[in-house]
Amino acid sequence: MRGLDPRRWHPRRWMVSHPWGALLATAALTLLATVQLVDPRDGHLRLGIDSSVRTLVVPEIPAQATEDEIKRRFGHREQVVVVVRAADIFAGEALNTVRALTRDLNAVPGIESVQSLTNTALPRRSDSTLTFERVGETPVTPEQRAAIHANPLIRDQLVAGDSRATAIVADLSSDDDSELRALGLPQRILDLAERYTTPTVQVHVTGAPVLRAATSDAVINQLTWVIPAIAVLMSAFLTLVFRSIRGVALPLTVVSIALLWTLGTMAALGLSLNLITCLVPPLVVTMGLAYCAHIVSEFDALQRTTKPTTRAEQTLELLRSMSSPVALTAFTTMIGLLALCISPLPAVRDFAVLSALGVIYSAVLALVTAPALLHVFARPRHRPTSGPDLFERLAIRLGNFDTRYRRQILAVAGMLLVAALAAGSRVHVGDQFIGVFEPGARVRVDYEAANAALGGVTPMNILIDGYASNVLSDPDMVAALDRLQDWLRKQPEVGAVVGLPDHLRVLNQTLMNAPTGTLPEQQTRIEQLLFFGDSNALRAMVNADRSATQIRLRLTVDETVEVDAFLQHLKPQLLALPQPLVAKVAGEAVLVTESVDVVTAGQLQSIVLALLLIYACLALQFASFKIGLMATLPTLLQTAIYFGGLGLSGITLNATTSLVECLVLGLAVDDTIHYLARFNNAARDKASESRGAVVALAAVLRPVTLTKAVLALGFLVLITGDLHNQVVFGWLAALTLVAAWLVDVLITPAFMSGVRIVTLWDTLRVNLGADVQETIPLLSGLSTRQARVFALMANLQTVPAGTRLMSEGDDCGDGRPGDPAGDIYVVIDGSLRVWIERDGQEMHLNTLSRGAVVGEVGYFGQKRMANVDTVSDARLLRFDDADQERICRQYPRVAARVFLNLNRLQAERRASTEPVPS
Amino acid sequence: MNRTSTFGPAVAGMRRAFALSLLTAAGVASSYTASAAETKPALNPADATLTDIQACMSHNLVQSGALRDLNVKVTDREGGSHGLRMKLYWKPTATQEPRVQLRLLEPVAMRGSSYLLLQDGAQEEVYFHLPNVENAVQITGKNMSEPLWGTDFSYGEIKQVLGLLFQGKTERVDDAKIDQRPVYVLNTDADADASGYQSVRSYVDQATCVLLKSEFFAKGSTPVKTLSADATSLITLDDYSVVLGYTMSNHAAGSKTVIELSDFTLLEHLPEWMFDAGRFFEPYD
Repeated sequence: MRGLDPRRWHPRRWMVSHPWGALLATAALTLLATVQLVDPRDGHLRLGIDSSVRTLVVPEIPAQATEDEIKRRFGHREQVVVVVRAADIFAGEALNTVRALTRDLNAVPGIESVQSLTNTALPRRSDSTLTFERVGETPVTPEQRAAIHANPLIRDQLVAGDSRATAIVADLSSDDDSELRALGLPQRILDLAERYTTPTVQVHVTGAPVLRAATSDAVINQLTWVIPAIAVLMSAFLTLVFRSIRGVALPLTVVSIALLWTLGTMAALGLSLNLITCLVPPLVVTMGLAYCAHIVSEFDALQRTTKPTTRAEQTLELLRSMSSPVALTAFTTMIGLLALCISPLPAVRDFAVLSALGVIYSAVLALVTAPALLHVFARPRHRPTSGPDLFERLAIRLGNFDTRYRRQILAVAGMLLVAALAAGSRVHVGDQFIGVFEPGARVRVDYEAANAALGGVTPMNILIDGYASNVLSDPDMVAALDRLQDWLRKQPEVGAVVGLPDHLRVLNQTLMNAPTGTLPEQQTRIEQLLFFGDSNALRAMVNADRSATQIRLRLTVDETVEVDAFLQHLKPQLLALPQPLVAKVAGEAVLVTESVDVVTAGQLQSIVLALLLIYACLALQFASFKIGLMATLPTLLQTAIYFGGLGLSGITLNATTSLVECLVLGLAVDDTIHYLARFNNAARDKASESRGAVVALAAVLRPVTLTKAVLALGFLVLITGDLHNQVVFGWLAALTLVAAWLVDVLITPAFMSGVRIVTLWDTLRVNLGADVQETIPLLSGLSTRQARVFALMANLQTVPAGTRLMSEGDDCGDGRPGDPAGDIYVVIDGSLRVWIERDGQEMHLNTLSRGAVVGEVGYFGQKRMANVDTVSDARLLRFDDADQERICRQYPRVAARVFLNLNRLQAERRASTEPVPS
Repeated sequence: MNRTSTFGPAVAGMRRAFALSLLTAAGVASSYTASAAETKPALNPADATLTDIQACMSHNLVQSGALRDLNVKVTDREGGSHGLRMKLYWKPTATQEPRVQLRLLEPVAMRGSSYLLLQDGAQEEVYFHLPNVENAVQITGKNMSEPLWGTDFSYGEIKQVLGLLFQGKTERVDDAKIDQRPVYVLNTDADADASGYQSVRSYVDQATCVLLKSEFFAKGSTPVKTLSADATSLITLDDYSVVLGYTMSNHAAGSKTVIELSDFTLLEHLPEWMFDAGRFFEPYD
C-alpha cells in the first residue's frame, strides 16, 4: 500500500481492510438517526416545524422587549382576521354573510371569541337613555350608518371607510401552532371563507396564524417536493455524466444517509425546521451529491488511468487521491457556514451549525461509506481511454486562452470588479412580510385583498408609558396622544389608528351625552369615563392604574425598507411627547424591520469573517501573507460580483440573501484551492507558470464543472418552492455558482499564471539534505524555511546521469523566463563534471558536488565557458534571472541574501586560483 | 314572600354593579332577617332534585331592606391592585319585586356615582348616575359579557351565578367535594351570545345550600374564570348561611378580584325616593 507506513495504524488502511465494518457502522448510526427522527412506537415525526415569522426576529432587539411588555400589560390573543367585501357591506346579503360567518366562527373549536359588526353593541345616546344596538338585527338605517362611521372604535377598525369591507376578528384560544393545527385551524376558517364567497360577496382570511400555517405548509411542501425533485434531477444529471448505475445509486444512497443523520441530529437537539433551517436539507442533499460526484468521478478516472490489481489497491488509491480534496473542501465550506455563527439570529446560527454538521456528515460518508460501497460492490477494472476527453480538450483551450489573453482578462476582471463595487453600493437592506409568498399564493392574495379593503393589515403598536398612576387621565396628556394619532393618520404608510383618545371620545358621547368627537376636558371626567366605561377593549388599550397605554396601528406597507422609513419619521414625533410620557414601538412590522437591520449587519460581518478565515487558510497553505491575499482575490471578485448582482437586480440584502454569499464563499474557495494546489505542482513540474496554468485547469475542470453543475442544479430546484425567499435563495445560489465557475476557469488561471506560489506543505516536504546552510554556500545565512522557499521558488529537479547541462560557447540567452540558456545550477546531491574540449581532446577541469554553483557566468549574460555534464543522478536547484526577480518581489529578504551569497561566491572565485568552470 | 323570585329573576335581570353587590349582600342580610324567614327545607343529598336545591338556595336570600358595605380589591395582570368601596341599598317592592341601589364611595373621583335596578316581573330597568351630572340615564340592551368597574366580574357572570336556575338549561351532575365539603354540582348551558360563556358549572354546599364555587367555560373543558368562596368565612345563623368573601380569578388575563363584606345595617324603612329613577342619586347620609 503505497505511501503508508505498514507499522502504523492508518484510517485508510483500516477502511480498506474493514469495508463491512465501515458499512455496519454507517448502518448503526443511520438507525440511531432514524430513531431520533421518528418515534418507533407510533411512527410520529419528532422533528418540529416552527413556521413563526418570529424565527426571523432577533430576541435581544428593543422592539422585542417592548412587544413582551405590551403582552404582559395589555394581554394578547392570536387573531385571525376575516374580511368580507361587498359593494355595500350594510346591504342584506353582505350583512347576512357577516352574521352567519360570525355564528359559524363562534362554533369552531379553538376560536375563543369573535368580534364582528353584527355582534358589536353600537351605543346610541339620547337625553335620558343609552341604548346598545346590535347592527343588522333590523335593516341598517342611515342613522346607524352615520353612527358607525362616526365611531372611531368601529370605523376603519371593523368597517372600511367606504362601507365596502368589514372585518370579523377571531381570537384564538392558543398561540401554539400544533394545537391549532390539531383543531383544524386555520383551515376550517379558510373553508368557511370559501363557503361564504359568492360573486357579490368576497371573503378573505389573513392574520399571523394564517401566515404561519401557510409558511408551515410551504416548508412541508419543500421537504416533500423539493428534496425528491433534487434527487430526481441529480439522478438524471448523474446518469448523463457517469452513464452507470453506480454513478447514480451511490450518490443517492450516501446523500439519503447524510440527510437522515442531519435531520436526526436536528430532532435530537430539539431544533425545528423554520424559514431559515428549512434550507438545510436541500443544502445537505446538494453538497452530499457534489462530494459523491467527486468520488465517483475520481473512481472512474482511476479506472481509466491506472490498472489496479486488487480491490484494496483500487480503494486505497481512491482514498489517497480524494481524502485531502474532499476534507479540504468540507473544511472551507464549513468555514463559510460557521462564520454565520456570529449572527444575532438564532435561526441563522442553527442553520450554520446544522449545515456545517450536514457538510461533515456528507464528507465523512463520501470518504468512508462511499469507498466502502465501491470496495464491496465494484470490481477492479481498467478501462483506458484513447485520448483526452471533452473536459480535457476544453481545459486546454481555456487554459491557452487564459494565458494568451492574460492581460486582457485581468483588465476585464478589474473593470468587472469596479463595476460590481459600484453596483454593490446600491444594495438596500430589507425584507418583506407577505412577500415571502409567491404572488399567486392564496395567503398572499387574501392578505393583499384585506390590506387594500381595510387600508392596511400589518400590525404595529406604540407603547406609551407615563410611569405614574393616572398620568393618562391628564387632559394634556390625552391631547398630546390625540395629536400624535392625528399625525399618524396623515401618514401614507398608516391604514388605521386606534388609541385611548378614541375610547374617550366614544365614552364621552355615550356616557356624558357630549357632542360627537369631543374629548373630555377635566381629569375627573376622564377618570369617571374610564371607570364606568370599563370594557375588554378599553383594558387592551390602557392599564388599570392609567399609567400606560398603547396606540394600535395597521400599516399599509409590506417592506421593511418602507417600515424603516416610517419609523424614522415617527421617531421625532414620539420624542416630542410631553414629559413624563415615553414611547416605544413594537409589533410584527417593527420586529422584522429591526431584526433585518441587525441580522444583515451581523451577516455582513459573517461574510467579512469568512473572507478573513479563507484568507488565513490560504496564507497558511501558501506560507505567505502576500500569496494568501493573491489567492483570495478571485474569491473577493466573486463576492463583489454577488453584491453587484444584488444591486443591479434590486434584490435586497436580508437574512436569506446574505446566507447565500457565506455559503457560496465556502463552496467557491474550494475550487480555487484545488486549482492553486494543482497549479503549484504543475508550474514546478513544467518549469512554467503558463504551462502550469493549462495543466492545472485540465486537471480540475472536470470535477470543478461537475461540482458546480450539481450544486447549481440542486439549488435551482428551490425556485419551484412556495416561499419567495427560497426561490431567491435558489436563483442567487445557482447564479453565484455559475459566476464562481467563470472566475475559476477564466480569471483564476489568468491571474495565477504569472505567480509562482509556495505552500506550507511544499516547504515541509522539500528535502535539501542535512546542514543546508553550511554545505550549500548560496543558501548560507538563510533559515531552513527560507532555504526551502528559495528552492521551491526556483526549480528543484532531478537530472539523470550523463545529461549535458550546458555547452561551451553557448549563448547565455536574454534572461527571459523559460530560456534555459541563462540558468544557474546549485548541486544539492550528486556530482557534475566540468570539462572543455581543446584540439579534439577532453580536458577535465573540475568535479562539482553538493553546494557547488555552476552557470553564474551565464547569469551575467556571457557565453558558456565550459561543458557541464551530470556524472551521477543529480538533484539540482536551477534558477534564472526571472526566478530571481520573482523571488525579489515575493520574498525580498531571501532574494537579498541569495544575491549577497552569489556575489561573495563570484568574488571568492575570482580571487582563487582555480579555473573558472563556465 | 316568594323566595325563589327574590334569588332568581331579580338578579337575573340586573345590570352591572347590582348583580355584583347582590351576590354577597343579599345573602348576608338574610342571616339577620332570620326571624322573618321560613324554615330551610332539609335535603337528602342523594334524592335532592334540581328544584329542591333551588328552593334550598333561595332560603338564604334576604326578604327585607338592608344596607351593605362592600370592599372590593382588584389585582390586575401587572400585579397592581386597587380597591373599591360601595354601599348597596336593598328594598323589595310591596309585591316583593327587588329594588337595588348601589352607591360608590371610593375611588374618590367616582364618589356619588349610583346605579339603580328596578324589577317588575320579567321587565327590568337599569339607571346610572354620574357625579356632576344633573340627571340619570337609563341603559338598555347592554352587552352582558363586558367587565365591571375594573373588576374581573362581568354582568353576565354575576347574572349567571345568581340566575343559574333560570338562565339556560340547568341540570344536576355528579356530586363533588370542595374543601372536604360535599357539594351539589349544577351545570348550566348558557346563552353564549349574551353571557360570553357556553356553560357555567356551579358547586353548591350540600349542608348550607351556599354557592362555594363557579366555573365559567367559554369553550372546551378549561374554565376561563373561576369564582371561589372563602369557605372559612361561611357562617350560619339560624337557618341562614352565607359566605363573607368571594374571589373571582380570571385565568385568561391573570388577574383576580376579591369581594369582602364589611359592616351592614338592617334598614327596613329606607325612603322610597332612593329607588325612584328621578331621584335615587340624591344624597342620603
